[in-house]
Amino acid sequence: MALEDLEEAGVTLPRDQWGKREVRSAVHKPLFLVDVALAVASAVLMYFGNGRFLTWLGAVLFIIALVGTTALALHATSIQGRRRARTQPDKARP
Amino acid sequence: MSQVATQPTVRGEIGLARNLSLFDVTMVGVGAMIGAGIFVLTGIAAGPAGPALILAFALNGVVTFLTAMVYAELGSAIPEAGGGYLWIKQGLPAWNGFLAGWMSWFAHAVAGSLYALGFGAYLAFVLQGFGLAPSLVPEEHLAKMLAVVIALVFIGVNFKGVSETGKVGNIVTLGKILILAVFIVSGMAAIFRHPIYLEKFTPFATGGITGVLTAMGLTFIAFEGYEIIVQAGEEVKNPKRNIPRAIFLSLAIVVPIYMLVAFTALGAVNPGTDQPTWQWLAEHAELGLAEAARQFMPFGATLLLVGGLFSTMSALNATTFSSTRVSFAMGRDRDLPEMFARIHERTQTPYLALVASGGLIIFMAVAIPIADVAAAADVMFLLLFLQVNIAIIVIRKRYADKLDYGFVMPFHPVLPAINIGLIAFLALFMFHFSAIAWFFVIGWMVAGVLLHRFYAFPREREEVLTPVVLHEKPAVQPERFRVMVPIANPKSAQTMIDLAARLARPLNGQLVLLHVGTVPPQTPLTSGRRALERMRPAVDKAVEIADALELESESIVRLAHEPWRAIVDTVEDHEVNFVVMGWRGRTRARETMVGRNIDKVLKYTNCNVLVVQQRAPVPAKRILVPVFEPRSASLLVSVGRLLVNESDAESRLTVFHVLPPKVSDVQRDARLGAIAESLEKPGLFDPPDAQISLEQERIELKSTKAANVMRSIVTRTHDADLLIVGSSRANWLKRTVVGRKPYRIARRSACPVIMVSPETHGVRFSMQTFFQFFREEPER
Repeated sequence: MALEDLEEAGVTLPRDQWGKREVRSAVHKPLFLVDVALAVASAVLMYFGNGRFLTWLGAVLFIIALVGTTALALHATSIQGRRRARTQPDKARP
Repeated sequence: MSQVATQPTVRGEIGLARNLSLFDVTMVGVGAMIGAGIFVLTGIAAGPAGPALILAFALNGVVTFLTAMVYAELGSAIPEAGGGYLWIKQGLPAWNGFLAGWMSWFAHAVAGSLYALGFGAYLAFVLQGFGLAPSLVPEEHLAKMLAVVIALVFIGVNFKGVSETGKVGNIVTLGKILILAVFIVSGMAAIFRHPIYLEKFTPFATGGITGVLTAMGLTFIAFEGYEIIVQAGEEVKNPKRNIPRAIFLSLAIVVPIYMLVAFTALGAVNPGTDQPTWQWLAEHAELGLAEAARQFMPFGATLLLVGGLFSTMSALNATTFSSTRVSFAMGRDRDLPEMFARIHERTQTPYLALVASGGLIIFMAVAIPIADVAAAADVMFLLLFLQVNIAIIVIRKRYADKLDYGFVMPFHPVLPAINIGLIAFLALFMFHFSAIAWFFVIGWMVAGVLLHRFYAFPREREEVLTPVVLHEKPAVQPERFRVMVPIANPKSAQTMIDLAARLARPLNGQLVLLHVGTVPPQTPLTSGRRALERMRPAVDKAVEIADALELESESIVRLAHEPWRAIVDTVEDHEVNFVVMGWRGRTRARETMVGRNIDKVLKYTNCNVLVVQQRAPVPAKRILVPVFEPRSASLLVSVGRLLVNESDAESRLTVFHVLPPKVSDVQRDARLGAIAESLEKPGLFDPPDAQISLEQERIELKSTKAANVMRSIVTRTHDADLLIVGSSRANWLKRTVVGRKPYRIARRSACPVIMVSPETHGVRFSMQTFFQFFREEPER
């Protein structure tokens, strides 16, 4: 399988745009790191809480981290869509 | 009766309507994840983890979220129905694509076995509850028997082509969520009515870290399913935006549900003895959740059983369907025998693929216990996700600036690398829980590798990549030394075949005469079949030359967009030992060392290659063989001995060694002694016990001291008729720094040149090819 297969499938950018796009994540990195750290910390709390208060605190924090990460990822898809609209107006919508 | 689907659907001719909204596609993901896994595995996984099952679900959520990001990125950039299988094909060496399909087939079939066993257990529970269980069948066998029956039923259902789709699927998914929601709410109400129940969670991690990891591995299959969102990509409205969103939303819905189910199942049950709840759940294994529901949920057992039965049935239907389609697609792509691609005329379903997949489902369900079935499916899915995580790294490196992303993963490649580590660890850890599962997985993978090596890849080459349109061979073809001559220019055919015959004759070898019909890149290879008639005279002439030399030969005509592809494929298909290629003596492009085709053949084949300049005289009177080290002298001199003109008493083969200027006489004698010793050993074309005399073979050993090795050799070529030089196919660093020397000598030589490139050790060659794949864009 090679690049021609992707071109044939119509999933590549037009050839004149190759190399011109910077592939950059739209996910807010500092907040993402905070979320990941929160998820790890909450897992540690759950384990060492031994079924008492800290375990439940960890579980709640974990859900918050999960929701936060999901929100960041969803927001990133919107930003990515806007970037695509700027650079490739005809392809930004299906 | 049946027909074989040989032509894949032409892209673009049939388009699917984009009518799945974000809600619909999210429900597809949620429905696929909340399958039978949560119903069947909660009780089983409670055993090793204890109350920390909640933590196991949370940590599985983390691992899954990381892989989900990979799926979101690749699914938004390459939203093709193949999903992970396609990305693995794009991002990893070719055999991984086959292996991904092979593993996917097994993973879905084994998941089907798990769901069939889950259904069997649930139905046996119902029958026993109503006193309807047949008395003749032992209790422990009833569930397995019912599993076989339901598997047969769904093989029949799939044969008729019935599948659960569209709005019905949404209703079923919402029904499952509703049952679990009632389970959670009633369980939490019970816990809050009796706050003392919270003490059941202490101690929390009864099995320690090991228990948590085991439960993670066991329940991982319950988190598999979001990848189906990508497979529905061609039907999704605004896929670049909605595919990643649906993946993340479905996980954000499912992970908390699983944690809450575990919380209520562990907290709301009153076993009535001192036995911890987790032990009670583990004792009830796949029926743990139903037994728990009986205690605190209105119509609990009934509702849970209904939910469990429906979930296991819909999951079994889906996995029977998907495993059948995977094996069907592999049959159509010629990765499996074509019978897998046979479609029943009346039902239009791939019935033989269905029988094979159904057989696998039933075998696994009957052969091993349910926990081991779950572990085998988990390991297989983990390994599939592992490959996808590797593929994203390669695809980003290779195609990132050429793809249109709807979502880009942050911290690349650190996050995929971390995920690879986590998944690999989890998969390996499952050995600790179920060695049987790993044995089945390893057995299946080894079978896959062998099938690819000896069946799928040779067929793909011969029929698709570089099709063979003519193959005339001797009636009997014993294991023989094969010398191949790709004939590009009929004018030089005589010289090339004559030279090849000199190599073949000492070992009673056979000639392989290859003609390549080159087809322009934009033209389908099938259109080249017409070229066969035009090539026929050249083919016949080559056979005549070989016959005149009294050597057995076989003729092959292959079609290819580039000749080197046909040469490489023929070397592999026919186990060629030596390739003799013609060379114009100059290169057109600066980036090539010898010529594009020769460079590629040297790069992608592992056999001895002889590159002959077109004006090279065969035999020759004065042959010069520069030797850089004793190790490389043997093959060069062996070839040189076959090319010496025996009828001319003056003929000589001069082995020439250039020493550094400061080398002492003692050192020089030692070096020359080593070379002479290596030349006196039997070479490739000699019997193993042959005694080689340098004098009898007309070999003279000469040396000189010089600072500039190349200039010294080139000067020497003025007194020779033929230069035989060894060419390197070492790794890229060695080739860049020193390996170009033979090519430069060849280009500056005053006499015609033959370059000999020896084969390398198989393992070394495989390693080089493997790493080469990740350094540069693949061409094969």
